[in-house]
Parts: sequence; structure tokens; C-alpha cells
Amino acid sequence: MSKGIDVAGLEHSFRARGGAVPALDRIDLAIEPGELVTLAGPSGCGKTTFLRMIAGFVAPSSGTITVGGTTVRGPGVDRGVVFQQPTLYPWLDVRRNVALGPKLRGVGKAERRATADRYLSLVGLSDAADRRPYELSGGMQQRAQIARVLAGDPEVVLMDEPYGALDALTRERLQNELLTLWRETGKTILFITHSVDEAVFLGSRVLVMSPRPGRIVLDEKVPFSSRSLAPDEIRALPEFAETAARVRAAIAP
Amino acid sequence: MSSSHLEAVRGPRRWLGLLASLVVLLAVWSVVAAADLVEPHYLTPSPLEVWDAFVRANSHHAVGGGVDRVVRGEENYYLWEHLVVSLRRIGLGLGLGVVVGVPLGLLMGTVRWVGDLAGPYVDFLRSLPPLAYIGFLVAWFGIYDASKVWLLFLAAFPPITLATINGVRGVRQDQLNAARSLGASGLQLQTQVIIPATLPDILSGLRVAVGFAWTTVVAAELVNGLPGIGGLAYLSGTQNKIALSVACILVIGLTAIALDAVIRTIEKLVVPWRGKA
Amino acid sequence: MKTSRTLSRRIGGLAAVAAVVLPLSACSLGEDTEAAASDCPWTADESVTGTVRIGYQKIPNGDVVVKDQKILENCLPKATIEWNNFASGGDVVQAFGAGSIDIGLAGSSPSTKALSAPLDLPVKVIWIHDVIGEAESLVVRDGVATDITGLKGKTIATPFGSTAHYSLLQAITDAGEDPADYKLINSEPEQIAPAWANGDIDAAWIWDPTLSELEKQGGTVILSSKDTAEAGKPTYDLGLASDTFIEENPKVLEAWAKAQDYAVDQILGDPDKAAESVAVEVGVSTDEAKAQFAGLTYLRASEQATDAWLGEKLGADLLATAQFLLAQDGITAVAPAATYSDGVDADVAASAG
Repeated sequence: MSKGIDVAGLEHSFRARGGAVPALDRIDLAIEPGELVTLAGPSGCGKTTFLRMIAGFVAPSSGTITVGGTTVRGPGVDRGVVFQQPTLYPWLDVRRNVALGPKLRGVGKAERRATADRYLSLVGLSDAADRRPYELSGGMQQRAQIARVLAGDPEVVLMDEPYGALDALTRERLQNELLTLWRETGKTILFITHSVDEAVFLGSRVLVMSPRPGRIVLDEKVPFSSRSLAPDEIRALPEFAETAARVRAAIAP
Repeated sequence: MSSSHLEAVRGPRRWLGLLASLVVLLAVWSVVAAADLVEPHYLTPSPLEVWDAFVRANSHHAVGGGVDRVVRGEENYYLWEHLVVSLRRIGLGLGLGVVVGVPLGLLMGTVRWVGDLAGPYVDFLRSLPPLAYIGFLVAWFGIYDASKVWLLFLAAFPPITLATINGVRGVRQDQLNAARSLGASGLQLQTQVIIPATLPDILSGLRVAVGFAWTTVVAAELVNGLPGIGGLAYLSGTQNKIALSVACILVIGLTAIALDAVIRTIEKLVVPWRGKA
Repeated sequence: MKTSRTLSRRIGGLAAVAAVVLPLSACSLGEDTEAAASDCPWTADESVTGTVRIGYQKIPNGDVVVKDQKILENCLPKATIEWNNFASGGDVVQAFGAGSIDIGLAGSSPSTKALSAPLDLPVKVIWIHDVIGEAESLVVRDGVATDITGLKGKTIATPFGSTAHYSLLQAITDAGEDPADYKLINSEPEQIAPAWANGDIDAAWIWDPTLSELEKQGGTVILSSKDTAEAGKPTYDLGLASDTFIEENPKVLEAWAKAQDYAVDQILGDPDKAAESVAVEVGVSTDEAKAQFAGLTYLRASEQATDAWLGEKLGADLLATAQFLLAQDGITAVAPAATYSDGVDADVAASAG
């Protein structure tokens, strides 16, 4: 089951010397269950803050966020978070990292191991199950992190520039894998990126946030991620370039 | 691949180097001892005299000086028994240091006001020379092992606590957030994330604490320290048996190095990710 | 779960090693010679049980003879005798203060401190192990001075708070001089010889083995504690016991005093045998031990129980010591004379006489 996200009248400002610095300005947004929403914007525009508020790590100055009708008051298992820097635990091997969510919920040993193995095979990491995170490449670490989030069975997956630090080839491969996972699991995904290409390619809907104070300045349904075309073919479509141009213009007017 | 090959070559070479430096050191020592730079002569025992004292201390030997009696080691204990007794005291002091220091450090690292409140006291305690307060401990806890273990504990726990605090404060915020999003409760956060993440720092703290404990053991054994290697080192000094004193000091130094190596091995086994993640 | 299991197994292994090593070191070290009641020079008292905690020092007198020949162990076969070594009388007094020992040996200076403010310890002097004579002497570097007046302005080392320190100050005062005109240096005995060799000090009032060492290095003895004793200011090595122990354990103390008396008898009558015990305990040769016997005066129980010693005179000597220590900031107040006369208990010695 996946749930939608509703954001109403969200505002946030940081306390700094010399008064409050506005970071987010009146955001109203409804994300439907099962959408893959990409949020693009220049660095420092507040998109990560926005994601952390949905995750429940940061409380907004005003406004409400509800996920599946429940108001967000802190972190919760209904919202899985994939961080830009992998947060795998080096004292656990990859399998036990992935099995952590079920373990914290008190699932039995055999069952959580099976769950972990299932998601590891889903992200193509079955062979790395017994290795420690630091023995993996950056791309494999992100795959493992995604598997860990999915094994926690959240309604919503929040991804904070997860591929930002990867090389281009790995990045493209993981983008394709994400689309497959999205189609297979039907999760609601909010994906933050600073890459226009990534936002347009992945999103079923693209949002653009303006620099501080952050505000949604573009909100557009995008058709590409649901097409069963090869990635190269999608990127070659004229509509792709047109959408990308509009997004780019919205980011840097 | 190439680094391990390099190590394979470097290993024996390093040992050879160490051996050579040891030979040079012993030679210089012998010359200095023979030259009697410091009067009286017994103050500069030669390596051979120290070795003799070491062997005597580990065997049944004749008292000498016109007495036929054969006695056991020094003060009725072999040197290694003196060492074991001191090790036991150090072990107890360190054990208590861990039992108290780690939870205290976790608390001080997690709850900021506790850290702010207790921090200066732990810092103060750490900077005190043990000799300065052994007198109080003897008055409170008597001349037996209790006061010695207390002193070693007081020397051992501040570095462990401070390292633990350091470790807790160094845990990445997102590592905590990730666990929270996976449904970790406050307690689970401690046991599943904070403690394992702090383990490398705790072990570093333990290594520092072991060093402190060794430097403290002589002070701890100044009063009624027999059996005990620190007590024996001190007593032999007061009796002008400097060769035995030096033997004790060498044994203390070598044991300290060996103990440090043991902890480093434990580090490699228990926190293999240290420096990698 | 592989890693956590191996981890806990490793920790378990460490705990197992510790569990094996720690108890082993706790109880089974050292040689345990069984006491034999038949070896007691008189009829052993098997009625006494419990533990007797003794603080001793490595001084060539009857105490180490009693320890080495296991006289107390043999004569109180059912009791546990615990011998704790101390480096100085100050440490022994500290142990009394901590309630850690029942009987202990300390010089007359630390003993007086124990009876005076601020310590006011509940202890009594029950024995005179020895009267200090030439065992503690003033050694002077050759050519520096021939009498104490000649040492004015010179550097003299001695362990502060010791009987030697007391004798030195006494000798200076008796010569009509002011201690302030001397450079007095506090030094542990073992550090005096190196300081001497270095040329840092001109003289020292000290005991063996440092005393002999300084003589070997060209020092001359110009005064000794025998001289200050003859001038009416004797110093002693005394046996102390806590008040409660004296009250509750008359049988132990009787056996203890008999053992001490036996040892004194041996030092006087069979010095070769006593010297062997001293050699083992103090770490000197038998010849050195016998030479050191000459520097101390030993008193039989019957003799020291009289008014000439424990009965009366010692209390007065302690009072004089206290007055002197007060002037030297060694104590904060001299107690009434009764404190020092009551602080001496001649009954124990009398019971062995």
C-alpha cells in the first residue's frame, strides 16, 4: 500500500544571528499515492529541508504535513529515507543492514533474513550480502540503502539526491533500476535532485523549487517514466528536451 | 596487493632493525654502566646485573651475604607473581573504569546538560596526578587492595568517559535519523546505533586508560604494595637494589607494550571498520 | 547474525580468560608454609582465632626476626597473621588512621604525631623495639666540618618527620645554634647517596644502608643519635597497637610480646641466628646485620616494663618530642602530658616478662 503526501501552508525559517532567515515560503502540495515526484532546484534552495520535514527530522515553523491522512510529528516507519551519503552501519554486514527495519520491529530472525535476501536480490546485491558496507562501491552502497528502506516496507520513500555523488554510468544504471523498482512496488516516491535530466527522466511529475525562500515555481506532469522505451530513446525524444528546457528555465529564470 | 607484498618484505626488515637497535642500546648501556658516570656504582647497574636480578627474582635462590638459606623470588613471590598481582589490580581498576566510564560517557554524550554539568569534573579528575590523592584513598579505603583499585579506577575512567563522549558526539546525525525512520525506539537507538558507532572510540579510550593505569600502578603500590610489581620496584629502590628496580621497570614497560598490542588486536577483531567508514 | 555471534563469543572468550587468571592471582600466589605449633618456643595458644594485621618495616630488630622465624604463626597456630610492609613510620601511622592494621612499628617521631593533634589516633605504645644509637648518624663530607657548629650554612639532608630529623634538630639546638642557619633538605633515604655523589649535599643524618654507603664514599660520622640520647633526647623504634585491639585481644598481645622478647633474647644471646633472619628480611649480609645490631639498643620485656622505660620515662620522652615537633610545625598542638603517659601501655610488656 502506498499513501499520498499533503502539505498545507508550510513555512520555515532558520534562526540566525540578526533574526530569522526564511527558508521555505508557503508551500501547498498534494502528492498522490503511487506518484514518483522529482523535486529539482539549485543547491541551498531548501529542498533538502523540505524533505527532512516530511521525514519528520525537522519541525516546520508553521503549516502541516500529513502522510496518508496522519499528521507528521516525527520520524516514522511509514516514511523511508534514502540519504545522499549512505548511512549503512559498518558494524553490520549488508544483509543485516537491510534486515534492520524488520529487526527493530521485532520480526523473527529467519523471517527478516528472508526479507533482506528478497530485497537484496531485487537491487541485485545477493552476492554482496555477507560483505561489510565499506567493502562496497558507492553505487552498491546506495543500492543496499534502497534495499534497506524497502525492507522497512514504508508507504512513502523519500530520496535526497541519492545519486548525486555517483559517476555518470552508475548513476544511469541506478536510475533505470529505480524505475523498475517503482513500477514493481508502486511506492510513492519523492526524489530530490539538482540534475534537470534526472528530474525529467525519473519523475512522473516534476517540481521545481526557487532559491531562498524556497517556493514551488513549477509543477508539471511528465510522461516519460511510464513509457516502456529504452532510456536512450527517451532522452532522444524532442518532448524530453522541451520539458528539460522548461524545467531549466524555471530553475534559473 | 602491492602493499601486502611490501609488508612481507618490510616485516623481517623491521624486526632486524629493532634487533640491531636493541643490541646498540645494550652496548651503550653496558659502556655507561662500566664508566660509572653516576656514583655510587650501584646506581648504574649493567645489563648483566639487571638480568641476574631478574633471574633471582624468578627463582629460588640463596640469600647470599653469609646466609645459607634459600628464599623464593623476592619477598616470597616470584617476579611474575608480583606482575600478576599488579595486572589483577589494573584489570579490576580498568574493568570498573569501563563499567562506570562507558555508561557515564554515553549519558554525558547523549544528554547535553549532564555532559555540561559533569564534564568539568571528569576533566579535573583526569588532570590530577595520582600521587596527590593516594593519601586520601588510603585514609578512606584502607591500605589493602581497595585503595589501590580505587586509584587505578580513578586513573582509568576519565579517558574512557571522555573518549565515549567524543564517540557519541561524533555519530553522524543521519545515521541516527536512518534508524529512527526504520522505527528505532530511544533504547534501540542506543543499543543498535550509538553504542556500536562509539565502540572504536571506547576502545581508543581503553588504550589510553591502560597507559594511565600503568603509570599509576607504582603510586598505587607505594603503601603496602607487596606483592605487586610497582611495590617491588619502589621497595627495591629504597633498599638500594637498583638492578632489581630496573628489572621491574623493564618488565612493567614490556608488559605495557604487550597489553597495548593485545588491545590493538582486539580493535582489529571487534571494530574492523575503524578508519574505513 | 554471524558477526554479532562471533563478537559475543570473542567477548565471552576474554571474560573466560579473565575468570581463569584473576582468581588464580588472587589466592594461589606465594609460598604458603604451614605453621607448626610444635615450633613455638613455649606452649602454643590454640584458642586464638581470627586475623592479626601487622605493619612492619625493614629495620634490623626483633620484629623481622619474629616474622622470618614465624614465631607468631607457630605460637598462634589457629590465627591468621598478616604482615604488611611499610617504607616509613608515617605510612604505618597512616595505616592506623585508616583502621587497616592492629599492630605496627613506627619511630618515636611518627608515634608522637599519631598521639597528637590533628591525628589524635586511638593507639598506644606497647613495646620498645629498640633505642636508636649509632644506627642513625650525622655523616659529613670529609673536610667540610668536624662539629655541628661548623656545618652552619651547609646543606644537610634527612627524611623530614623521621627520628633522624628529630635528632638532627635536637643536636643543633643543644649546640646553641638555630636550625634556621642550616640548609636542611627533605630527602628519601635512597635519594641521599646520589645527591651526595653529585655534590648536592654536605652532610646527612641517616641510617643504613645509606649511612654505610656515605662512609664508603668518604664521609665521616661526627654525631649520632646515641649522643642526642645521652643528652636526654632519645629516639626509639616503637611498637604501637590500636586501643580496641588491646582491649579485645590480650592473649594475642601476650603471645606477640613473648615473641618479641624471644627475638630480643636471640639478638643478644645468639646474634648469628638472629642476623640470618635480619639478612633475609632486610636484604643485607649477616655481617652487616651484626654490625647494625651494635647501632641499636635492645631491651628485654622485663626491663622495658619498668619505670625506666615504658613504665614512666617513655611518656616523658614522647611529651618532649611533641613539644619539639610543635616548634617544627610537625603537629598542631601538644596534648596534655597525660595523653603521652596514658599513650604508653606497659602491661603488654609486663605480661611477657
